[in-house]
Amino acid sequence: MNRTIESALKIPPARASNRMGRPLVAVKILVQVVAWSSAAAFIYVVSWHELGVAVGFLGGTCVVAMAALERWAERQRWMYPIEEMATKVRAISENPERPIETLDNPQLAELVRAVSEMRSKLISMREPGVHRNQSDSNLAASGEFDIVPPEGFDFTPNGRDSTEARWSAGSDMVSRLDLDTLNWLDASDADQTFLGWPLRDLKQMSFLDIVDAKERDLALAQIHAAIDKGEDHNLLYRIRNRRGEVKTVELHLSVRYRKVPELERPIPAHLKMSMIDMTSRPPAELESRKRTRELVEINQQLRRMNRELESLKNRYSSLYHEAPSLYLSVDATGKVIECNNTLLGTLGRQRVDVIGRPYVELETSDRRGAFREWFELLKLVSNVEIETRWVAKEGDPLAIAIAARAVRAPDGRFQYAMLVGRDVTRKRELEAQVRENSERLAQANNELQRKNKELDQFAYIVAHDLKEPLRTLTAFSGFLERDCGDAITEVGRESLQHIMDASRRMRAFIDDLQTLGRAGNVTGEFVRVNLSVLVDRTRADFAEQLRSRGGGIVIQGRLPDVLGDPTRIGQLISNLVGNGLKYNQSERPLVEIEAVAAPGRTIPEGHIAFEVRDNGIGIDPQFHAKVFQLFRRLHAREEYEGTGAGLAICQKIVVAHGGEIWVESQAGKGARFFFTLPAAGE
Amino acid sequence: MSSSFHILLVDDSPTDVLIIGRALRETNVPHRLTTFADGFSTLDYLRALSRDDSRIDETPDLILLDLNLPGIDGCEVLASIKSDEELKLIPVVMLTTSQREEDVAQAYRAGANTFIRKPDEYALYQELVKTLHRYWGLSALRPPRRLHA
Repeated sequence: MNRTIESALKIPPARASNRMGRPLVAVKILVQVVAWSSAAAFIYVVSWHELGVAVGFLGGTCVVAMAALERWAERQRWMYPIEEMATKVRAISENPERPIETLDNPQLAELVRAVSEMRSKLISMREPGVHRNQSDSNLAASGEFDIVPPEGFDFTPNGRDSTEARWSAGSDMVSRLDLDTLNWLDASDADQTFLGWPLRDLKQMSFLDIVDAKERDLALAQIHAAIDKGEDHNLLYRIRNRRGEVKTVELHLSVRYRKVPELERPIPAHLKMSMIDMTSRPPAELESRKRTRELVEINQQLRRMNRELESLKNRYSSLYHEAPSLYLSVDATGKVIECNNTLLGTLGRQRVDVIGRPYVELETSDRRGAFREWFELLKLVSNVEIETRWVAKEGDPLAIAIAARAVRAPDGRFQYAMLVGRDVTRKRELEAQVRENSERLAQANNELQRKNKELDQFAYIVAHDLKEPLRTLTAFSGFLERDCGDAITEVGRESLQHIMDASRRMRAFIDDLQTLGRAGNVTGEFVRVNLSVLVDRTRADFAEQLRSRGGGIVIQGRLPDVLGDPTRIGQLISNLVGNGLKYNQSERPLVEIEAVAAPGRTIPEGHIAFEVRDNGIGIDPQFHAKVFQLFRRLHAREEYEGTGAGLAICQKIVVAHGGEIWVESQAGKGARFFFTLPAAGE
Repeated sequence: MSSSFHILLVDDSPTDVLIIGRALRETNVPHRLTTFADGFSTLDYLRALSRDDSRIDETPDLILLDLNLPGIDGCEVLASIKSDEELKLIPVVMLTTSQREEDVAQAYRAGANTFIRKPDEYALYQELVKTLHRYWGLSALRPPRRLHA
C-alpha cells in the first residue's frame, strides 16, 4: 500500500499535469464510442439478431466502466496540483540554504502540516480501505514534515528512514549515523559517490574519521551539541574523501526518533545528516555561511538570555509592585515614568492617571512650588529627602516621606529620579497627638508652677503680715509687765508669760513658713557649690553648742562639688546637721557627712548622693515618710523644741534641685539621711 | 553734735511707731521723731521742706522707711527721694519685716543706704535705735543742708 502512495507521490509534477491528461481523454472517447456503438447495435440486434443479449451486456458494462473512469480521472486532476505543491513546500522546508529566519517559521510549519493533511485526505479518498490514522502515520514516516517529534505523535517503528534514504537517493547526500559512534548506518547513493566509499565500508567508519584533524575536536563538540539539542544546521567542516580530495561540506543534522511500546515519548534512534558540497563555492559565501552560523548561535543565546530576563523580570516585577513602599520614577521634565501598585493602591488611582502625568499632580496644590526647588536640587546633589503631602482619591491628603535619588548616565548627566515614599500620615498624626499632649502637660505644669509660686508668695505675705501683730503682742506684753508690774498679781504675771511663750512659738512657725516658701524658689542659674565650705560654715554656727555639749561635725572622705543654689544648699546642710545634733542623747553627739557611691537605690542621672548620719535617737521606720511633712513633730515640745518644718524645708530644697531625699533609721540606732544633688563634674 | 537727731519714720503700723518711739525714749537717745503713715504725705512733706529755705533746719537727719505702705510702697517712695536732687542727700534706712532677697536687692538698687529687718523682740529695738543713733547721729558726717549754700 505504501508503495502505491509512494509511487503516486513520486510522479514528477511536470509529467503528471501534461502527459497524464491525453491518454485519459483518448480512452474516454474510445469508451464512449464503444458505448454508443454498443447501444445502437443493441437496439438493432435485439430487433433482429439472436446475439442481442450478449451485445446488450457489453454495452451496459461499457457504460459502467465509463462512469468509473470519469470519477478516477476527476480525482487525479485534483491530486496533481496538490502533489506539486507538496513537493515545492517540502523542497523549501528541507532546503538547507534557506535563510535562517525561516528555520523556525511557524507559517512554513503550518503550511507543511496543512498540505500533508490535504494529501492524506485525498489518498484516503483514493484508497477507500485505508484507515485515516494509518495514512497519517505513513505520511509522517516519509520524514519530510517533522523535525522534532510532536508529543503523542504516532510513529511507524520501521521502514521510515529506509524509504527516506531511498527517496533522497537521486542527487541528495543524505545519511544516517549512529548516535554514539557517528558510524554510518545508511548513506544515499550520492553520498557514497561523493565520499568514494561504498556503504559497506562507510558502516565501519565514523564521520569524524574523514573530518580534517584540525577541526575534529570542534566537530565532535558541535555534533554532540546538535544531538543534545535535537538538531543543528549550517555546520561547515573540511573533510577528505577516499580519493584524498579535501572538500568543504555543510552539514544539517537532526535526530530521528522512534516509538517504543513501553514509553510514552519516542526515544532518539539515529542522526540524520544532510551534506552539501561547498568546495566550489566562492570563499566569500563560505565566510558568509560561517557568519550565518555564528549569527544563529548568537541568536539562540540571545533567545535564551531573553527567556532568563523575562523570568527575572517577572520575579522583580512582583517585588517592585508588591513592596510595602511607594515606588515612583520621574523623568528630567518631572513626568512620572513608572510607579508600583502599592502607590496606586494607596492613592486609589489608576495607572493611566499617573504614568506620563506630571509628578506634581500627585501633590496637594500648596506643595507644588516646593517640588521645583527640591527637584532641581536633586539634579545637583543626587540624594534628597523631603516630606510632602499627596492627594488621595478619597479622604484627606496623606503625609508622605520621600527619599529621592538621581539616576545618572555614565557621564554624570541626570537621567531620571527614583523616589521611594512612605506613608507617614498615621505617624504624623500620632506625633501631633503627642505634641499636643505634651503641650497640654507643659501648660498644666506651668500652671502648677505658677500656682506653687503664688502659694509661696501667699505664705510669705501671710507670714509677713502676721509678724506685725505678733510684734505688737510680744512688745506690749513686755510693756504691760514693766509699766503695771505692781498692779499685776502672780497669776497675771504667769498668764503674761504664756502669752509671750506662745508669741515666740508663733514667730518660729511664721519664720519657718517663710523659709519654706523660699526653699523651693532656687535662684536663677546653678553654680558650683563646695559642700565642705558649707559644712565648715555650719560647724561655726553650731560652735557654741558643740563647745558646751561636746561632740563634732565630721566630713568623711572628700565631698565632690555640686551644682545648685548655695544659699539653699547651705540651709539644707544646716538643717540636717542641726537635726543630728538636736535629736541626740549621746555622750558626744556626732554628725558625719560623706559622699556615697551606692546609696542603695537608683538616683537621678548626673546626681551625686550624700549621707548625713548621726548617733542620735533614730527614727522608727513607721515615721520615715512622715518626718518630711510640714510641721510634723514626733516628740513633745517639752522634749525637743522645734516647729517640725526643718525636714520639709530640706525636702523642698532637694526637690527644687531635681534630687531626692530619704532616711534610713531604726529607733535608738541613729539616723542616716541621704540626699542627691546635681554633680558639678571635675 | 546736734542735740536734735531728727528721724523721719514712715510706717503705717501704729504699734510699730509706738514701739520705736518708746525705744528711743527709753534708751535716752536725743531725738526728734516725725512720723507719716503713707508715701504721699511723706513726699509732700519733704518736697515742701526742700522748697522752703526758712525750714531748712527741719530737714530730717535720717529716714526710716517701711516697705509695705498703703498707696505707693516704700520702694517707690525711696526711688522718688533718691531721684530728687535735694532729697537724695538724706540717708534712708529701710526698716521692714521683709527679708526677701528681691526686696533687699530692689531697695539697694533704688538707692537705700541700709536695709534693716525689724527685730522680733522689743529689747532688740532698743539696741537698734541706739546703734542707729551712734552711727548716723554721732559717727557719720551728715550731708550739707544745701548744696548751693
